[in-house]
Amino acid sequence: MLWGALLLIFAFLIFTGVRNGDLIMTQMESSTL
Amino acid sequence: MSTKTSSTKERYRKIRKLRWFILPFSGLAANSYAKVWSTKEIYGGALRQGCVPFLNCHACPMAVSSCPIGILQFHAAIKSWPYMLAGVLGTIGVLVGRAACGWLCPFGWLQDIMYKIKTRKFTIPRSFRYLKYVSLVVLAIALPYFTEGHWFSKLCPWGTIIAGIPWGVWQPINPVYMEPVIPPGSFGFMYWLKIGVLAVFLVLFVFTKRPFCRTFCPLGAIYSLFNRISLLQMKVDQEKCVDCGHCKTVCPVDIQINREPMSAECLRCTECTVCKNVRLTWGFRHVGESKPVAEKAA
Repeated sequence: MLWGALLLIFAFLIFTGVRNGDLIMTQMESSTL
Repeated sequence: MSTKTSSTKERYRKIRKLRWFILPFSGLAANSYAKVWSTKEIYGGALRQGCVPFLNCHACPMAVSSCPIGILQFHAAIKSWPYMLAGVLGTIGVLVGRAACGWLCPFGWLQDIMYKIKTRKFTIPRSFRYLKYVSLVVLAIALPYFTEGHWFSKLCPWGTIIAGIPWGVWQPINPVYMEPVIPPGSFGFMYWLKIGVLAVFLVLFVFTKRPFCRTFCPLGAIYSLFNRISLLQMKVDQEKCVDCGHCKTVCPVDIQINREPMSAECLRCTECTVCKNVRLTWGFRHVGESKPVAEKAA
C-alpha cells in the first residue's frame, strides 16, 4: 500500500511537472552555459 | 544444495563485475556529444529535457542530458516547485534507493578507483554523513533560493573535472559570432576556488572511501531518504552471520551490513555479497522477510 501510494504520488508529480513546462525549462536551463 | 549455493555465488560475482563495467560507461553515455569539438556549441536537443539519475554536470562540453542537482538549484533560484524532478527522483528512490550512486555515478567510480591506491587509509567519522544533508539544504536549495546563484554547482568537484577544467583549457571561439564561448571573466576567484575544492577531494579520495558521496553529495542525500523503504534491499542471514566484519572491509561506504542492513548510506553496490550470508532482495516486504533475488531466479 505504502509503495503503491508513493509511486502514485510521484507519478502525479511527474505529470504535474510536465504540464507546468518543466521539460522545456530544464532544456533551456541546461542548454545555457 | 551446494550446487545451488555455488551458482548463487557465481551469479553475484557476475553482478559485481557488471557494476564495474556499467559505472564508467554511464558517464561516457551522459557525455557523448562529440560534435561540440567542431561546432563549438553544446548540445541543446530534446534529451536535455530530462536529467540523468546521477551527478553529471550539464555544463560539460559533451553533456547530452541535465544534472538533477543543477535543475534543483535552478528551480530554487526561480522560486518554482520542481515537480518533475521530485517525481523522477522519488520514483527512483522508492524503487532502488541509492543504487544509482553505486551503479551509475561516474564520480563514485572515480572515488572507488582512487581508493585502490595503496597507502595508509582513514575512516570518516560517522557523524560526517549528516554534512550531505547540510549541503543539500544550504548549497542546493537555500542559497540558490535567496541569492539566485547555483552555489553547489560553483563548488561541485565533479563539475570542475568534466566542465570547469575542459572549458578552461579549451576556451573556444564561437565560429559564427567570433566571440569566446566562455566569457574571459569566468575564470576568476570562484573558478580557482572550485579547483581548490577539487584538489582537496582528490587527496581525500586516496585516503578514505567515497568522501564526496558520504559528506557532500546532495543527490546522495535525497536518495538516502528512501533507502529504508526502497523495494531493493540488502538481506543478511543473521543466524549464519558471525559478525566477522568482512562486509565492512569491502563496502565502499564503510557499512557493516549485518549491523545496519537498512542503512541510509548503502549504495546497493552488492560488494558485500562476497559473503554468502548477504543477498540482494526485491519486494514489498522489509528486509528479513523478502526472498533473495538470486535464489528466486535460480
